[in-house]
Amino acid sequence: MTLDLHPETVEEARDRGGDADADRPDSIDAALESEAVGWQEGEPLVGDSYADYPSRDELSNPERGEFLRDLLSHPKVDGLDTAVEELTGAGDTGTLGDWLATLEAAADAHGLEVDTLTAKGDQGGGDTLTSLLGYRPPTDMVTSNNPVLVAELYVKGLSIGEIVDTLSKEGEGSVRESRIRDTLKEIGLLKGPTRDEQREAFEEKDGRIGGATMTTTETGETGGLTVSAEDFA
Amino acid sequence: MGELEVVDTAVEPLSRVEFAPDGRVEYENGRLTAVYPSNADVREFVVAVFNYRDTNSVELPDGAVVLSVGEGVVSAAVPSDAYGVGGA
Repeated sequence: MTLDLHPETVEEARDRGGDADADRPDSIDAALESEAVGWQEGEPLVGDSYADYPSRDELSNPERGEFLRDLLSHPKVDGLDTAVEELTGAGDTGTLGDWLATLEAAADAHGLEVDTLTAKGDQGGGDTLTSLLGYRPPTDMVTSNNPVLVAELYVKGLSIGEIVDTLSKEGEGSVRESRIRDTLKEIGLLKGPTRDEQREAFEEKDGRIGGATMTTTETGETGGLTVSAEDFA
Repeated sequence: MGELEVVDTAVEPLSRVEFAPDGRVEYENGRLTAVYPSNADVREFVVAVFNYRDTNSVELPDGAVVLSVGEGVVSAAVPSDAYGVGGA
């Protein structure tokens, strides 16, 4: 893949100012949405709508076995914890524990081998980055410090926030939006000075921002503001 | 009347319980009671919940025993061999 640096592409990228490309291909949206694991996050991992997901009690229905098998075998589901995350928006440990116990019991009733179904190997064939780029870059290239990767994702139409989300899920931990924005400025795909450039310009002005100034005056043994109670009467 | 077997246990959805369905089965407040002749054939059941809020009907597997009906759900004891995913 070659990064598209056509003048129109660059101009459009700069004009976006870090937002997503409104005219990007549907495949980019699909790649981003398909990654979303979590209740009501993006597209559901199974079926067409979260409205069709079973409640915890409904997992006991024998006809829900197929749903459960499809969920556990989904490329994004690597264990029961992830499956629970997809099934409920609950956050308290008590409710999550109930869901885990229910999933275990339902899998057992249906004769589903959880470990086998949730084992995805090392290929990660369904990951967002591969879906977005159409290939999987070498591991050492997948970092927010790589301007080529950041530029490729931005030119493909991702917003800065989406780039942050994508790279954060690559095991890098939290990626800062300001870092991505600086990278795009450094390589000319965003307008404006980087944070370092702003800092240098600030220092060149001796740290003066301009505008309001403050002067202090010696007033003897006590200093500070004098307030008259009459002002508040 | 011969000897009777009694099962009296707390259940919830997906609980497994064994009893003979041709005896007397009662259910109240999450507690299932079954009384049946000791020489009757016992089956394993799984407690399941079937929603009828949207359809006003439910389809239960063969051999299921209805435990309660109300508030949009039918609770039933379903033979455990009704579970399993086709082709799995």
